[in-house]
Amino acid sequence: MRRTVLSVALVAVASFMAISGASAADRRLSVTIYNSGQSLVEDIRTETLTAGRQKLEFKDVSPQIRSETVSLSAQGISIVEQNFDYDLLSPDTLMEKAVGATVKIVRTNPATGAQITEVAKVLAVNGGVVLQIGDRIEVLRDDGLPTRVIFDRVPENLRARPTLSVVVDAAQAGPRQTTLNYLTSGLGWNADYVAMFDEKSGKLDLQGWVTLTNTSGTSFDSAEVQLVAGNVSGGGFSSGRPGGGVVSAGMASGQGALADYYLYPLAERTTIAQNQTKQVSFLDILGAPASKIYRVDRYGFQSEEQPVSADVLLQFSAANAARTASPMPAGTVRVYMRDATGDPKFIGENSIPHSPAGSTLAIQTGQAFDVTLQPTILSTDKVFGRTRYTVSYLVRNARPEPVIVNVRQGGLWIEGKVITESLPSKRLNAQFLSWDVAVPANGETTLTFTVDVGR
Amino acid sequence: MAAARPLLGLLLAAGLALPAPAQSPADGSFSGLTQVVSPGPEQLAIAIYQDPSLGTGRLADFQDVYFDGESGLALVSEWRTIDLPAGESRISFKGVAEGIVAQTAAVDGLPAQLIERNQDFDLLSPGSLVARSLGETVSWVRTDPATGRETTERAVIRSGPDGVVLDVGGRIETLKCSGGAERLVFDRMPSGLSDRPTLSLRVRAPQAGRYKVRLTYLSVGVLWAANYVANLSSDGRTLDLSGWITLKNTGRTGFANALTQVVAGEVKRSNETRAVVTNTVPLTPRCWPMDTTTFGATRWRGVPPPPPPPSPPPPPAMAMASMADAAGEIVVTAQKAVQTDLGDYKLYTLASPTTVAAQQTKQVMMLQKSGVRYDRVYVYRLSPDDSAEADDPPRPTVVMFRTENRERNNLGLPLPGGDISIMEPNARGGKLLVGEGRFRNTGIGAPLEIDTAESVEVQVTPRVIREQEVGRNRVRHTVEVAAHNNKAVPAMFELRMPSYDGLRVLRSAPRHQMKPAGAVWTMTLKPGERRIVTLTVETDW
Repeated sequence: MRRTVLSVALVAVASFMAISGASAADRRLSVTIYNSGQSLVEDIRTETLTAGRQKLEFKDVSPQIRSETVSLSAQGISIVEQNFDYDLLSPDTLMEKAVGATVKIVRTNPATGAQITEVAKVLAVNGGVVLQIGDRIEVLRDDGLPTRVIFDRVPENLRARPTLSVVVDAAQAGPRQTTLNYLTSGLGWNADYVAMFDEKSGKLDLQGWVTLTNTSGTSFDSAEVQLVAGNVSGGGFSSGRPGGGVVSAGMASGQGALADYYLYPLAERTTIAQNQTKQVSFLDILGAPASKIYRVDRYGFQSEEQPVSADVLLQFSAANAARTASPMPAGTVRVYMRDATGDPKFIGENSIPHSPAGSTLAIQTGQAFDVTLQPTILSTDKVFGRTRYTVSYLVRNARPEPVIVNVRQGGLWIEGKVITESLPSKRLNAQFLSWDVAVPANGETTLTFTVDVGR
Repeated sequence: MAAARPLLGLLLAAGLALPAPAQSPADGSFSGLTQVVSPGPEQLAIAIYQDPSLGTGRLADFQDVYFDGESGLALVSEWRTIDLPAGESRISFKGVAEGIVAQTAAVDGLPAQLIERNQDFDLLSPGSLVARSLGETVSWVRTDPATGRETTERAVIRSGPDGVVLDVGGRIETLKCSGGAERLVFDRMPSGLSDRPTLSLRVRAPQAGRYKVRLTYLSVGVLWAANYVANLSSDGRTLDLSGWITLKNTGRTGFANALTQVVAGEVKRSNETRAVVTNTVPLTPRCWPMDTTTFGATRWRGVPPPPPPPSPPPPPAMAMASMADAAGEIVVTAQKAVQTDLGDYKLYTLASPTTVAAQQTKQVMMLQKSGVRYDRVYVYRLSPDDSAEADDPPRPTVVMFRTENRERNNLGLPLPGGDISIMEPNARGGKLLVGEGRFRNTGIGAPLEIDTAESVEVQVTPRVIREQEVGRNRVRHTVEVAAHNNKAVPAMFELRMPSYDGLRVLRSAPRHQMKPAGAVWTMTLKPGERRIVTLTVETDW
């Protein structure tokens, strides 16, 4: 029933042709959306062409189309020119285009309501409309009284919305499948992850959602959608890493990988409406291994009047025993855990970069209320231009269980070295030392060390 | 599948869902689906987080926080009842919080396959009404100002809403440029527009049924902060402390009768977590220039700023039964929040469900402690080149209230950071505000030092008596610091030199100690006593 109505409508449209409507039943729309906010639209439909030159108009393209990227292809046609017109129809553009033409003006007598209609020629529209009415020259509505203006037509190139038109030369008449490709902005996606962390079992349930946002100005009806994870433009630009970081990158699995990025096709056709955010689940992992880390980073040597809260990090990898590891497109991870009554509670969120399958990630979820470090610089000595610091770091734990706090000390220079230390350190790199400080429940541990930071 | 899983799909539960015919205006793209509308939550719970972006600097200034789509964060749980039809349907959730961050929404307890989750924010406004009616036929009604007679003509909207052009049977006219009284009358509501951003699910269910579901989401625009009042006892050694939770809802939706919790602790936030910003489409006339002096009628498009909210109530002043309770027992009132742990944060649950109305500030008691032992310390923070000129007046010290968060001081409980007002009894039995300060989240066993006002009761005169360059980029200062107690009682004085820039104390009399505050000299000054500290230090410069 419905289908019948549609095809009747289609025939009607096809007989006027020249103007492409949106609702063709045989239309195939596919949209490839990149992280960067760019999208590639492929719009395949059947046009009935006449032989020779004609203009095809596409009114339903995205207003944010990058017109230089448009390409139209069909069998047996050649493109003469393509235009993207955004001279928009409004009262003032209508009047501007009417300069030199005649319009009708209708004046209403405010006392009697009587109307007088006159024909006027528009002489100029510069800070006011100057009209010639017979042999009188007047300014429109100079008296402030109601005066309507009636135009007899809308100029052809003034449009209600930006319109793409392509002039083609067809070898012969008849229906033809045309493919329109273009890039547009205003459509973007990112990944949103929901991570349910169970600290006791050291497990994480991870669900990934693709979040699409359409503010392009048009809707994409019943489209095949695929998403590309990875940056396809601006190579060589390394943006500052967001709060999260890849601890160890896994091997890129070949699955779904297209060259240097990943493709995520959506399983079903969908309509991405204008001003809509759409989410589709793409990842569902139960029981990924995860652990909590307390960390304090000290970049220099300085005492602090107030204790410094330890950062709380969640370390995990998007894999479980039963499934192969999955790559994680860049996005936001929101971490939840259950409170004492079993209700899920949000405990923090952070961004992650594109992460290949098998990566181990560590993201900061917040700062600990009960685990702090208070630094005291006990002495600073200068020996032959080298500086030696003796440091006492008091690590407090007000939690009812023992914790291990990873303390990292930066600020070492050339040939910097540890002279003495109360706990064994690990050298992370040229600048950083690292200690794992065990602190008993409701207790404190003091880490002291002397370093020669070099220089 | 996902929906049947407990949390990941998160929550939702109870509203009624009317398996309504497609009457919702937001049904546009899925008009073929069965529409289910859940009008609102039947039961609510919110957990409100401290907002690190507000910083301590703005904790007290709640009256300056407006709904900006970012500040303030809460986890909202709503229980609704849904009548789920068999097959594919679209379930819309009405009455969610204004600050909802749609991508964090999850529904728990719905045995259906979730195909997709949408938030539509194409809002109904005069402009979008015209935009969605392009090409449609509407009625154009003009009223004769003299006779009041209406003339109605059928017209096709050719453009808009940024300037409306009408086609009246081949006559091209414009809307609101003539200066006459005129309006458009629409025959129907265009599809796809809604009054508020609307969250919906597209699901596929094997069979129909009525389910209680839980919808959870993060919402911005709800904040809380801790506020404290300390009443000093006349003994000069103890104080009574009461802590309050101040809740603020900057949004236009209230949380009625909600189980309310607040979370103390710094939760990491992402700047992606923000409410959708809806730009309503204005309807503008965009007329040609007229009356000779203007370029078209322009209309101010900005949104007027919200009126200032009423000032929050002062912290409920000291109506506490515990004031008299010398034993240090906590008086448990019906209103007091119960504290538990949530991971590395502290969770405070209000004893009974409360209503946090739209654009409201509300206060609830968090904790009470009496007989808290403290020290009043007069502190001066010295930098090595700090030197008074001959005729400079002596420098004031900072009054610091110091204790340790331990049971032996009648404290020993988590103290969410916040503002504190310190009151002292005055001679007539009333109270006097003697200082205000703030402190950070303070766990059990941690030191608590609160700087308040400056005082001239204890004064300091520092004088650099020698300055010399030693080696590359090092400088050596010899400083004499005179401290004077003007009070009639002994005063604890502390001189602090923060230890940055490679501070090294070469000599000092009396001796210093290296502490977290740097090099520290502590002494008790007798009434009227003046003492001199002499120190020689080396720093980088």
